[in-house]
Amino acid sequence: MFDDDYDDLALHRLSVPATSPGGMSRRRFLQLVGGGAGLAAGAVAFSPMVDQMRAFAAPPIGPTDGVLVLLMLEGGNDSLNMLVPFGTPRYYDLRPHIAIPGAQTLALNASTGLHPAMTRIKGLYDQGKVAVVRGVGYQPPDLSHFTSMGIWMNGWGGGSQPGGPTGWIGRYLDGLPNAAGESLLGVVMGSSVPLHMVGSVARASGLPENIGGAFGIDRSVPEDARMFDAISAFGSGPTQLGPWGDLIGTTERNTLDLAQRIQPAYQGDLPASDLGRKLVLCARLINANLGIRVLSTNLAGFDTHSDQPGSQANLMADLDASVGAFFDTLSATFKSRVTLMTFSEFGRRPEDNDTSGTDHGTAAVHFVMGDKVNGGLHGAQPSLTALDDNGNLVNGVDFRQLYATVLDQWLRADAREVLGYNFGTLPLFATGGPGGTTGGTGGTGTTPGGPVRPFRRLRKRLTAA
Amino acid sequence: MDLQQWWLDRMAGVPRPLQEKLTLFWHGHFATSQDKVNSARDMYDQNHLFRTDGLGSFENLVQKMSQQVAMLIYLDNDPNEKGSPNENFARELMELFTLGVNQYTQDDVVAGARAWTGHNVDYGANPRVYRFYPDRHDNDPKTFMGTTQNWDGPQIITRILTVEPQRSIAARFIAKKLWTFFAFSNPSAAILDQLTTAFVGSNLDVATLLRTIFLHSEFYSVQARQGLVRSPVEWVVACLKALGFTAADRNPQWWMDQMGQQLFYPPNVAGWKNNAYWVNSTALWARADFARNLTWKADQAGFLAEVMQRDVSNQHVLSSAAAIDLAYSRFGLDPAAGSVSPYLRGVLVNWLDGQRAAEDPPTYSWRHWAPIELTTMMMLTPDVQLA
Repeated sequence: MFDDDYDDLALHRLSVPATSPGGMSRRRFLQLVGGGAGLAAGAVAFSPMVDQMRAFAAPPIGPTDGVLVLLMLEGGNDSLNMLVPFGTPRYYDLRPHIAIPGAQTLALNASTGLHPAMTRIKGLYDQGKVAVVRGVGYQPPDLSHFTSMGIWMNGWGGGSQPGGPTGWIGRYLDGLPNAAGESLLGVVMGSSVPLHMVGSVARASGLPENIGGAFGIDRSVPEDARMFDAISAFGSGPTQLGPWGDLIGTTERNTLDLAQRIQPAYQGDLPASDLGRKLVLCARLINANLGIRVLSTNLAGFDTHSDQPGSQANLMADLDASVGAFFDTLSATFKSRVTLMTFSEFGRRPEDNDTSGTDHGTAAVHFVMGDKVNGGLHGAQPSLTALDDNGNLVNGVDFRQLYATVLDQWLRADAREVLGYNFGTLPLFATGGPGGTTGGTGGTGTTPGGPVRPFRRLRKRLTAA
Repeated sequence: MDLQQWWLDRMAGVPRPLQEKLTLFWHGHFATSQDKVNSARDMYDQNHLFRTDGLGSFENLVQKMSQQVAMLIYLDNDPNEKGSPNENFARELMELFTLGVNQYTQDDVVAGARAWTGHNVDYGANPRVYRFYPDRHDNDPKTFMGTTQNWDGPQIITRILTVEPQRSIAARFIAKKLWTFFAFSNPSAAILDQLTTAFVGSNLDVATLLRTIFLHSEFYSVQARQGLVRSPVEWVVACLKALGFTAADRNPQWWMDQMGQQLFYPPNVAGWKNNAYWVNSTALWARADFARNLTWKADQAGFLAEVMQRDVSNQHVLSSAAAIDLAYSRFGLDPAAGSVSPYLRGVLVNWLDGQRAAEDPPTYSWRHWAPIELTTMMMLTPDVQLA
C-alpha cells in the first residue's frame, strides 16, 4: 500500500511526509517498526527516554562536513524580474507591464541587476558569497506546478528507479550511517515533509516554527514523564492496527525523543516573518551541532499570474531579509560549513500577460550562497529571442548539474549514485570545500553557458498518468 | 462569526455527517484559499455550493463552482479577457479538477484560457458577483481537444465531461480520488473499473458513485478499516464530540495550521493530501498541544469523575482496565467488540496501574493529573488517530 502512495500522490501532488516508509519494502518497514514484536501485549517495558536518545543520536558534524540548506520558492519564481537583464532591450518589449527599469536594479554588471529589494543578498554577492546560476531547467519542460516540482524533487536521471520514487536529498541521506534510525539527518521546517527529503530508508523530520506547549520537553513532573514514556511505548511494538497505526506510533516515539534535542534552538526571539523565523531556526539548529546535514524550508506565493510587481517585491524583500538573518545567526564555527540554495518548479514566461502577471514558464535563475561558494554569475543568460514553442526560455543548465555540484563538492557524496547519471558539475565552490578559514573568491567567477550534457529521458512513470 | 469554528461545529453536530464529509472532500478538490480570496462571504458561498450540489451531477458542480467569485479570483480568471488570456484556471480545470495530469496539451490550456475570457467578477456589485462580459470574450475560433470553433468556457466543461474518452478519464480520476478519501489509497484496477462504469453509467452522478463505493465489498475490508489516518479536521471533530466541547469554545483552529490542515486555507490548488502527510513531528506536536489544552478542561466533560470514583474504603471502583475501556467508549471504540488494539490497550492499562501505584493513597496530584492525562493519551492513541 505504501509504494503506490508515491505514485500520483507524491509525484503529482508532491508532499510526502518523511515519516512515511517511502520506497522501502513492506518487509523492511515492518522490520524497522517491529523491533518490539516479541513483547506480549500488556507486558510493556517503559525504557527510560534517555536510552532512546542515545540510540538515536547522530554523530556531530565534522569540521570538513558541509551542511546544505534548501529554500523552495513555491509556485514558480519569476527569475527575469529577480535577475533583471536590463541590458537586453527585448526584455522591455516582452514586459510592458512589469519590467523593472535598469536604474532601479542592484546592478551586478553593465547589463544585469538584482531585484531592488535584494539589498542584503547584493551585499553578500559583493563579498563573493553568492553564486548566481542562470538558465536552470530541464528538457522537455513541463508547465504543471505539481509535475514539474515532482521532477525537481525527484531529481533522478537514470532508468527506472529501484524501489519507487524517492527524493534526491532522501537518496543522499540513505547513504549516511544510521540513515534508517536517525531522525535528524534531514530536517524540514514545516508541517509536512516534501518528496525531495524522502529516501528509501532515511526519514527527515518535520519541525515546527514554534514548539508551543512544548509537549514532551518538560519532564520535571513525574506524572508527565510517565505519560510521555507511555506514549513512546505506543511506538515500541506493532500496534496491530496496520502500517498506518504503526507509523503513528513510531512517529510519536520519535517526536518525544526529538523534543528534548531541539528545544534549545527555540529559546529567544525570532523574526516576525514566517521565512525569517524558519531560517533563523535552521541556523540555530545547525549551531547546536545535532548532526543535521540537510535542512529544507519554503516560501510560497510565487505563482504570480496577476498583479505581480507588488507581490513579488514583498516576496523578494522577505527572502532577502530572511536570508540575511540566517547568515547573521550562523555561529563562527559553522559559517564556513553551510551553503544555502534556492529552487523552484519553474520560472515564468518572458512575455507578461496584460494582467500585470506572468504565466508558467521554464528555465530560471537560482542562488547558491555561503562562505565557500565561488561567487559570481554562472551559466548563460537564456536568450529572450530564441524561445521555445510556448514562448518560454530554453535552459542552458540542467538542474541536476546543480544537484551534482552540491553533492560532489559540498556534501562529498557520489552524485552519480544519487542522481542515477553523471550530469557533470559546475564550478560553484571554492577549492577546499567546507570548513577552513578562506572566504569567497571575490565575485568574479563565471561559468560559460555551454551546451548541456545529454541526459536520459525522464522515467516514464514520472510523466505517465 | 469564525467560519472555521462554524464548520467544525457543524461537522461535529449535524445529523448528516456524510454530507459534511463530502463537502470537505470538494473543498480539498476545488481548493480555494481565503488567503487570496480574502472574503468570508465568497468562501462561504462556495462551501454552501459544495453542500447543496455536492451529491448530484458532477458536471453541474463543476459548472457552478467555475462561476463563483472564490474560484474566479483564486485562479486568476477574474482578469482573464480577450487579448490578455490568463492560463491559470484553464490549466487546473483539466489537471486538478477533471482529467488529471498529462490528459491535455499546452495547446488545450491556451485554447481553454481564451474560452474562459470574459467570465469575470463584477466588482461594482455589492457584494461582488460572477458576471459574463460578452465584450471581453474572445469570439475567434480556437482549437480545443481537436475541435475548432468559438469555444466558450462552460462548453469546455461539457466537452470534457460528456465526450469520450475524456468523460471516462474524468470519471476514473474522480472515482479514484473519492475512494482514496473514504477507503484507502491506491485501489486496484478492478475496483476502479467498477466505480468508473457505475459513474459513467449514471452520467457522472456523485450519489451513484458514492453508493457504489459504500456497497463495495472492499469497503468493508481490513485494508479499508486501517486504511486512513484521520485528517486534522476529522480528528479534531472526533475529539470535540467525544469530550462534549465545541470549536467555538475551544478554538482548535489555533493549532490546526501546524497540524497541517486549516479549513478555508488549503496549502495550494491541489488541496490536501492524506495519510502519511498528517504524520510527522510538527503535526504531532500540534495534536499533542491541542489535546493537552482540551483536557485541562476535560474534567468538565463528566466521564472523568467515573474514572476516578472511589468506594467508602477509598478503593478505586473501576479497575484500570475498566477505566480505560470506559474512556475508549467515549471515543466510540469498544474493546469488547475487538475494535481496539490489544497492544495499545495494554500500554494504557499498564500506565494507569503505574500511576495508581505511584499515587496511592490518593493525593491532590493523582486526583488532578491522571484523569486529565488519560484523555490526552486517548486522543493520541493510534486507535483514535485512525479514521
